[in-house]
Amino acid sequence: MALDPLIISYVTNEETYQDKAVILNEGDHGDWVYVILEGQAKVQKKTKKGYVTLAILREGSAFGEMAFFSHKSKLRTARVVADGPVVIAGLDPVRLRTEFASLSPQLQELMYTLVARLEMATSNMVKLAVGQKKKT
Amino acid sequence: MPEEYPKNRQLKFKADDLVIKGGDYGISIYKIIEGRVKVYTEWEGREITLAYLGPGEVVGEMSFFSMGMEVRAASVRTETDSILEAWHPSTLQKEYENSPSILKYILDQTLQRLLQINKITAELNSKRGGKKAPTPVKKKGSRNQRKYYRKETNIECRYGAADSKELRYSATIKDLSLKGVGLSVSGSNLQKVDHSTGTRFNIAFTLPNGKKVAFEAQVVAIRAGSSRGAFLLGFSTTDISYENQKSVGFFLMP
Repeated sequence: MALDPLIISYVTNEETYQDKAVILNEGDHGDWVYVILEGQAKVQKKTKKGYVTLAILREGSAFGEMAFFSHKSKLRTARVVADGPVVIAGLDPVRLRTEFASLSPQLQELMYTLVARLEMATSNMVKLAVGQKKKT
Repeated sequence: MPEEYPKNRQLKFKADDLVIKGGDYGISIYKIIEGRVKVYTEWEGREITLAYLGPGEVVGEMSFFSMGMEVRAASVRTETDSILEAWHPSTLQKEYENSPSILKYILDQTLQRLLQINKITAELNSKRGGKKAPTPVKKKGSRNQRKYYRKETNIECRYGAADSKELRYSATIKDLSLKGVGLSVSGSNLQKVDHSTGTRFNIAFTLPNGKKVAFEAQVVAIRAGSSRGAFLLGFSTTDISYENQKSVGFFLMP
């Protein structure tokens, strides 16, 4: 799958990670948005029963946006781990910030809300899933 | 702001007023100015609270991102007297369309992830519902209590033993509710496979509106039907996905 040229224009530093290397750690400070250029990675959350995989990121998948589109916390909500060798790139943060700031406060608010919803929904789902495993 | 776009409106609500009804078409986005609201879904006549929101928080925005193509995913009711600001999404939609593509690219993925998580959560909840029913929420004389009831129907269906993938038998659904179905079954079916109480079957049918429904149910009652050689079997649903529950619930709405 060829990467959208739009994305390429925002790509800054490229980084390569080996299989199982931690790209972003849950709780880390940071609000860069990244994209997968090659390979894939897993998004995982830590629970009492160990790590739960929430999603598989593939070529073209963006990640790290949860902290970017957040009023307050610039902490990573989950960890991202390389699944096989993977090449990622950061998206120019200055350009992203500037473009985001040019939107109306209401549209910005909506984007914050969408991301906050995903964070809450994910936490709830994980609690539900882990809770169920305990019963069976 | 251009004059031709609808202005934002401030709305006053009393405690326990319904703001958004799950299953309805709606595109307004609401920002809470004062007060507190509860976001919830309904499951078998009971409310399952999803969240409480307060001043500064926004609700109803999912319809904006799904371009109004999906019905309201949840209901919203005020907990206290509240003031909500209603946004018409048309201005915002135009702005969103014209916003930098990179932001739309990123947020589109976020939205897809959210819809996916909601689907998984609903499935996890429906599995749980089969084993342990959620505790009923006490409502203080709520004016908007939904009553699910049994609707008389005449819908052809196919059904089969729960552990088989085949739906070998046909029957007619004579009544339908969220809790179960009443099937009119020919006596010859009863001779081919065990229909005693407790036996589970997969039942599949198409609603008059074209929506396909399927779920698992167990026999709870058998009695003679109105015509010769026919029996009326009462089934209680044992496993129904959130999507199917929504389809049936929608069909049952008065």
